[in-house]
Amino acid sequence: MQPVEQPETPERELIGRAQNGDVDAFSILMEGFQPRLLAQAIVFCRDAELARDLVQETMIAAWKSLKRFDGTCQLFTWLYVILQRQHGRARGWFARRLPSPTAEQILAGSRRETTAATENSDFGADESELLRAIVSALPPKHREVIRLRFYADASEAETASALGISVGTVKSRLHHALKKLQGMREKLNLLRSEDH
Amino acid sequence: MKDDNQDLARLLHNDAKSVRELEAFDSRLHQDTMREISLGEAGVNRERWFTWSPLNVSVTAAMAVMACVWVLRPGQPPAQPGAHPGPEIALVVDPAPGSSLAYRQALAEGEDALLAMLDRDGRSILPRSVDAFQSDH
Repeated sequence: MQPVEQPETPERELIGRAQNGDVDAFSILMEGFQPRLLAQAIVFCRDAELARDLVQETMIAAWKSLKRFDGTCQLFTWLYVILQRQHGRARGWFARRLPSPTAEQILAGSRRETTAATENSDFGADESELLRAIVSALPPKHREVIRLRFYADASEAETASALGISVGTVKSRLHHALKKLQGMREKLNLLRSEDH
Repeated sequence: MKDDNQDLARLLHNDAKSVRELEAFDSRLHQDTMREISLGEAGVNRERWFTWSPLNVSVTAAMAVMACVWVLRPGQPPAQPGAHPGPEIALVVDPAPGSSLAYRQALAEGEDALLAMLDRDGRSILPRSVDAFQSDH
């Protein structure tokens, strides 16, 4: 796969220096990416302290494997994959093997979350919590592509490169993931209408 | 179905936008993380004499296997603890000169051998100045 077209920027130079072991260059890079990673981690963990720990683990893991970054995707996309995998690891072996929550469980969980959430956003906090909950309930391979495509804003080619799969597989997984999400949404809407 | 997917994609994009509103730089987190990385680097440099790379592990395992094969190679008697190779026991004993066993052995070889032994022993026992077999008489 060809490297993503990136202009000769300070970022690229910093990546090169960091790959050669320059901790200061890595620090400058992470200053730029940390706010985005932290915001995504808060969505994953739903807890600020856990999110901070997750970002720290992600940055340390990124430093250790930075030499493997080949520039075939944006650095943020690569970091986002590490963030997702560190989160999966942090959940533990048992939690990863728990069955996906049912629509009723998702709805109940979403109600608990929205009572604490602010209602000021253009996009309703209730709808937002519900959407994140059903994305979390997807099988890992579908969840990964949905998050990379929409939340990390990665192209299909970048998503494929970051996950080490073909573009065709990314398209297929996206299609199935959206179909599943749609099915879950419909079921949740039905449950909500029955409640009211 | 395609419209439904587009609607869902729009919702996901909107949610992603709302996540971006949460972005804020956490300087303490950054400092803590960079300190961890720097400490880790210092530790790695100290302990770099052996790293658990697949190559190192394979080479070490191969050397261990070769050592085992060498020790247990076929045709080697099993090692017996405590058995030291001492001096071989002499099965044929030379009798001491002048002893009865020496004379008996000499007699068994013949009368000449016995006389030669008596002559030799007589010379070694008597002082050199004395010619035992040359009489002054």
